[in-house]
Amino acid sequence: MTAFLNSALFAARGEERVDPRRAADRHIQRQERRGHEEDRYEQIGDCVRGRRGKEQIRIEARCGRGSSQSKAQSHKGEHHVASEDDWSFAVTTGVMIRLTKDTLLQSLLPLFQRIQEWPISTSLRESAVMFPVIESLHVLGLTVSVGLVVVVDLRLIGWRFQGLSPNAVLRPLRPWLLGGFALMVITGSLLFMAEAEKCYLSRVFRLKIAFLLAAATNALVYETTLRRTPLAPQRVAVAGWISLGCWILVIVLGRLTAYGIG
Amino acid sequence: MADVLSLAQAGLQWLEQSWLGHGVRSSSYVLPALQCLHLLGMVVAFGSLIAITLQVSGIGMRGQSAASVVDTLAPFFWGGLTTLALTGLSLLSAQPMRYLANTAFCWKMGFLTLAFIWCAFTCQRIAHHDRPTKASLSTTTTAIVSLLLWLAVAAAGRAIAFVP
Repeated sequence: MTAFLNSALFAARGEERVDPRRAADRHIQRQERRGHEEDRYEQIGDCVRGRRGKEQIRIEARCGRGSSQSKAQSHKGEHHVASEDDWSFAVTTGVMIRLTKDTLLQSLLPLFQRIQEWPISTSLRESAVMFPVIESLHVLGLTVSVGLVVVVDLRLIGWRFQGLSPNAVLRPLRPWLLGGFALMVITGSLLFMAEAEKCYLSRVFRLKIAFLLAAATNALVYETTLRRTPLAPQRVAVAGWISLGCWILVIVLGRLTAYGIG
Repeated sequence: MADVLSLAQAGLQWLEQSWLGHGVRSSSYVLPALQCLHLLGMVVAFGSLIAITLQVSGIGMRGQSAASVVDTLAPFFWGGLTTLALTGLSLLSAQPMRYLANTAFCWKMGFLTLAFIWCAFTCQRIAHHDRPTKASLSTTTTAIVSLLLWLAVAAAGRAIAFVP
């Protein structure tokens, strides 16, 4: 484990002010003394925030290449330059989290590379007609389903159709809405298969899928619980806002995926 | 016909050199942002249009007259369409000559004109059609034709990216 971490630290950080090998060793020794359970840490972007043991110290460390910055904050809110121990803790955990994330990302990559090499994916990608047609159908499905979702959201939020129950607005639109959604998912899967590797490695695309799942979960929760309890206008409005927000983000992130941003 | 084309060309050249054209070309983030807004405007416009078409065709919300649904959703349709027009004009001003040379773009403008003409002549009839249960055949046809025309505008718009 120590050897693995040492090589990982060297590989990930290159030259540093503090010898990362010594820092990592010391941190691991300390962890072994104290037990792992007391350390808590999380990664936010390039930043690691941790609570070490019972000391209530918040540590922030940027673990990018080049200059290393770390800062520790005690529970009283005082800022000071972190001691070597704080720094080593933050860097070690940061590199570990980053490595875990990268390893997870890399471990699934062959799967998507294989999907991209399926005969259907290859022929789709190389077809001058099918790809544009499927992409157009994808936009059509999206327009129909999200467009009608917006109409339903107007009622859920309580902005329009106040005289009708949410279900009265949703019922006639549902078959068209679900039809458009199915078209969008089928064509979207085909488009994904054609460029699986590019999509999988794109942060924007992964974010889009996350918001898509959030929108779908929101709709499922609405259909299974809120639809049967008409006496909760605030909760219904929340469902409407979540739906509207998620779908706007899905559309924007989907459009940006094509630009290769992120 | 040639006169119309040269007039359009002159107008587009002016557009290309206007502050709008310069602004859109000034940063590489403007075009993606405009396209996102264009897409969002389209979603809102089509959502209202489809809901209106369903209502007018008699398969919409029960107990609601077509006229009241049109009244409720028409502002969203026109709002979406205004967003589309403004963002579309901005997108066009980036490279107007390239768009003019694009067959799909010309088809899109053709369908757009047809859709507007169709709406101008039939919108009043749809809006004042006030029968909650049974839809008249001519109203249904009118609504479906306008929906198809707008879909043709969208399809031709999507094709712009794929036509050389």
